[in-house]
Amino acid sequence: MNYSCNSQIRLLFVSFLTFLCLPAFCQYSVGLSSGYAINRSDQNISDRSFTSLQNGAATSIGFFINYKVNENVDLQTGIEKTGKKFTIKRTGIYSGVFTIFSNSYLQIPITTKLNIFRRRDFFLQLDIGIFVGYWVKAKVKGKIPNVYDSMNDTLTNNSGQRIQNIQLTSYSTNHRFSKRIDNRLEAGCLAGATINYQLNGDYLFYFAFDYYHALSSQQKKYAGSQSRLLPHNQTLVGSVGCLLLLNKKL
Amino acid sequence: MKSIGYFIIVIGFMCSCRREVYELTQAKPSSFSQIFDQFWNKMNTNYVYWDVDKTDWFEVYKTYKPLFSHLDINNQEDIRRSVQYFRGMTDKLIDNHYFISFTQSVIADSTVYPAFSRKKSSASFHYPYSYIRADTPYLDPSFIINIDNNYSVNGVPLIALSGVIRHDILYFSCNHFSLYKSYQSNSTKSIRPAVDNFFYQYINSKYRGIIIDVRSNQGGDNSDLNFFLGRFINQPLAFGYTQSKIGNTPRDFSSWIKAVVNPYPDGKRISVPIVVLADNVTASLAEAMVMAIKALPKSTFLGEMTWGATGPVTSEQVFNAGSFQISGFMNVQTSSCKFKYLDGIIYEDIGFNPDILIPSNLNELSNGIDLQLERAINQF
Repeated sequence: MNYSCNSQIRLLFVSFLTFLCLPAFCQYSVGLSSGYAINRSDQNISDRSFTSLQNGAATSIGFFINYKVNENVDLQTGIEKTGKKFTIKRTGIYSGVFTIFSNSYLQIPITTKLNIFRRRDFFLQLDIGIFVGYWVKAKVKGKIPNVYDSMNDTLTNNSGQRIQNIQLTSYSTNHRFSKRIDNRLEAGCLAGATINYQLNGDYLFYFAFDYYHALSSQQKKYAGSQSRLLPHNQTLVGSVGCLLLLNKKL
Repeated sequence: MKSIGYFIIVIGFMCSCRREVYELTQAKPSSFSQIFDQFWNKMNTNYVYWDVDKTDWFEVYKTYKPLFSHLDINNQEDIRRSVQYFRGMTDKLIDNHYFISFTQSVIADSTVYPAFSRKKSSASFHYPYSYIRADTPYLDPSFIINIDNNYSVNGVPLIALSGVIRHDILYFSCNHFSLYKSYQSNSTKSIRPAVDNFFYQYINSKYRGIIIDVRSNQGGDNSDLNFFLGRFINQPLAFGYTQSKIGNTPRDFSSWIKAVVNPYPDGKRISVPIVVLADNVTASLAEAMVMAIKALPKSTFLGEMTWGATGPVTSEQVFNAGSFQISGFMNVQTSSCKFKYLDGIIYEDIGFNPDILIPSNLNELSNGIDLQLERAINQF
């Protein structure tokens, strides 16, 4: 698949502006949310020996504007800061060596929320939408073998040979973005569900469970040879939030 | 119900968006296009100097991809021509450990060694030289020389020489670093006597200074840093920093981490002046030894600028970086990490500068006169 990020972003910004210009006679609400994001980096590491990929967990916070189109449909957008982490872990004789990639994104989701079930003050919505994000920051930390920090002790392998014991050293650094390699714009689609509780005429609390599937990769196709699956984020976000129903004509 | 239907369609769409996974195969390539792709990709992910090397590897792809695609893997002329192409692709790489040897039978006697090609045309270049014959006359008669054929490099056995000069200057030299392995072996020809003699004198005798001679030593086993230099310290000695690859892009690096020599169990802190001798063929671990000795107090580096192969080399598995193979065709040796000295400078392809520059004089050496050693002796 070949995605043009620029056209996707333009589309999303137009949608966002359109959203803000919608007729004001329907209900607006604004709110905050806070949640937990579990991220998987979909990439191919088959050429790396004794190496495994692990999902990572981070936080997510957001500010949202909700627009009630009718009894069954809401439109929601906002801005959220989501951490998308993953770990590359060495296995076997290299156990103990790992690298944690902590990436921070600012995202603008545009979600259609469809009411599918209601009982008293609780109602269930299905979420379908798209999102665009910007890769703001990246930090890398881990433990790595230090070839110049070893102990010549009397460790022996199974053949009785004396072997060297290389120490592992911790490190932590900020990732330096490369215009050539890093794709800082991310776009994709999302789907999920939200359980809402209408406390009263003003406040609504909710628990949302959304899956963000990035269609753009973290890396540009900078290499001439297409022999690698470029890393894509797949993020599951569980969040709790509160909406204040404005219920006024703007 | 309609809403649920739309939801299922969206989920189905997302699940069906499978990206095509290209097998990252390391199987034996069957064409020069495949050889080129595997080589280019491996270099792209494994080479540790892309952030400081001026070679534009993407331009190299554009230039050489069409050239390799016109080569026929079954044509001997084309196979020989490929060596020239590999030389062209790599001739400006700064990694002075970089070395390609070929396992393909037609070109098995060919090599690609960019640093050697650059340096051999220099006026000051000389091949590795054995200083033993010229130096032993400078030592007092009690010197010990050991030769261990079990640890040979390019057919040259490990030679360790230790002794005393003018009764009060300790001297040690070795032609490559396999001291620890030889010492630990059960061989009757190990270098154990020379090493024991030297360190016995170091711990028990009175002397004015120490000379460590690593001229024409092209490196070896990392263990020797602690095993040899660890005897001169009683706490860890930092002598620089290394940086490793942590991912698959050319810019995925760890932060710089300290390179240290750890004290050996009976290490005794050095308190006398120490001189290290090196020449312009001193490379790899021998260069690390020079830099580590320079981190000691009262140290002097005398001789010529070193080779400039400062990045350590280890198995590809350790960092998923560095040296690699193209099955059935070539072996590529390249550094596994970058190294920078305490002053923050990466001396790769530059060489470490001596405090006192004394060029090697092979004519004088052939007459038994070692000007560098004489200057070192006069330091004390």
